[in-house]
Amino acid sequence: MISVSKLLCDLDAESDGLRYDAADGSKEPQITNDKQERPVVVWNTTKRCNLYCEHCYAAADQEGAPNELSTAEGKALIDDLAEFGVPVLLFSGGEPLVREDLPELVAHAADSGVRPVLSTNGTLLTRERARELKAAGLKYAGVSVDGLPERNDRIRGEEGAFDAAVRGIEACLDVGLKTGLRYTITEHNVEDLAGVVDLLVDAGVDRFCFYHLDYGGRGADISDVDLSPEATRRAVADLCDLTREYHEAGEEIETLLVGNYADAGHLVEYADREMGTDRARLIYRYLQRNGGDPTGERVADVDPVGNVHLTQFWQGYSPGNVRDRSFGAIWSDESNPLLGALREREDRLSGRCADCAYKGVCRGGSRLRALAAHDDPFAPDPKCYLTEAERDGNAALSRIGSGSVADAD
Amino acid sequence: MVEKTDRTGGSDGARSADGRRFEVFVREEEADPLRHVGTVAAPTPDAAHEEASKLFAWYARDVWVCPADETHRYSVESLADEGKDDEADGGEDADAPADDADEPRVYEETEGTPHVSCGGAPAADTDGAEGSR
Repeated sequence: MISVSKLLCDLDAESDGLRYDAADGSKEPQITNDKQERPVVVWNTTKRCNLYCEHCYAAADQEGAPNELSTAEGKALIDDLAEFGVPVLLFSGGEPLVREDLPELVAHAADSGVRPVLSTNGTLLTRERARELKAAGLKYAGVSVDGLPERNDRIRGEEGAFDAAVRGIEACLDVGLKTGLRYTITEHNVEDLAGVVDLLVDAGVDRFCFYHLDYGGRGADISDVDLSPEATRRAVADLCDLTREYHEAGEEIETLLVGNYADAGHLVEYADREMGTDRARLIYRYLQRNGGDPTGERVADVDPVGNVHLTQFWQGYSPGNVRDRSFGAIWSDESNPLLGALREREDRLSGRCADCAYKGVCRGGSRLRALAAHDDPFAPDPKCYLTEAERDGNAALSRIGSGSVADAD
Repeated sequence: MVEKTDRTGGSDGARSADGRRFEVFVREEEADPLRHVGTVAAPTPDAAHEEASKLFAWYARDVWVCPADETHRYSVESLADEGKDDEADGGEDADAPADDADEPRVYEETEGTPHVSCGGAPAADTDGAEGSR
């Protein structure tokens, strides 16, 4: 996850300490002052969902999975995560609000010292439920919207889903629960991006999280509508422009990018081009602390039946199940050759990733997309959109110089 | 005579939220033991082997796959004892460790008691010792 607003506009955010170890001067409360050593965990609490979105990585459906973790198992899982030092637990699905025990689980996480946050389609979020979740200790609700009304409803498989999601966002805002947008960018909705931001800023939303398509679940079935490298480059540059325009107008929105660490190199290049080399150098340093693609390290997933995954998108492989061993035991077991190799991936990356000048801030991008495209988890990410000159270090990196940046490598 | 390890088989049941899954075991060199390396989602054993090969082809000499739902697992611990659901949902001690959770496992090499909990994975003897699993 890369904060565009932090890097381009110096916006403080609660999670900067987690992402950049850059919270010392921040006026905002921070999740942690230490560099992140344990993963943020996404828990798909159920496979059941009231919508049927075309890009759903969890392939959620009207029916839950058989043998989903019970309330007691969920609490024991949370105890495991707390013991291991997991800083944040993201309750996801399916649609987590279909679980009646969600407030109880959220409260258990909050009481255990694990920061509870929520990923939801928003359509079941009434003011009453938002208030209940806030009282339980929920810190944030990310609501998925994937376009203006017509396009969103088509993507989400339900007429009226857009309006229902906006009502859910408003319910959160009404009860003082911090909320934000989650938006997965594809050819189907890239044109609506700025319009959705404009509309939701008017509704009071100030946090916008944009996801590149990853090729997991139903996302793999629609890889043909993923943006081309050129279109991705334009969309990310447009988002950078949009963020700066809002900030220049006094609206300090928070914008984030998830799922394609070519964004890291692109942001350095963008800053060098539009804001000067000093800003580009600063951004590069922040991104080095951020650590690049987090697969198998700074993010983890537990699916509805307890399988641990290396990211929430990579559901096809699991190194273990929390019904067999604690999460910490699974995550720390580097005798697993894949887990160990992913954590030393710089030595294994092949093709254009192996010699890329941005390898230190990107770490090869999505290993899942590499696997999907090349049957090899260490092959190049097919969605890298940097130019050859940028990858060779002949663009911004040549101007940033061989001084502090190279030393920091 | 030492006390035998008391394991229960409480962690059986469906192990997949997305179709069929297979437990995967790999062996690097001929003299090595098989190592459990997790599960892959796949519709058939051949497809599971193919998926595992993509992930471990650079490593494994042998790949064994076993239907996850047909694997019977016996362990000294479970994530949460279903029989304690009511207590866990409402009792003040719901999340306290089971009484014997901190007891060391009994292991008698001469009797050949396997030092595994399930699926060939090494028993968790540190992180797993504290909770009501």
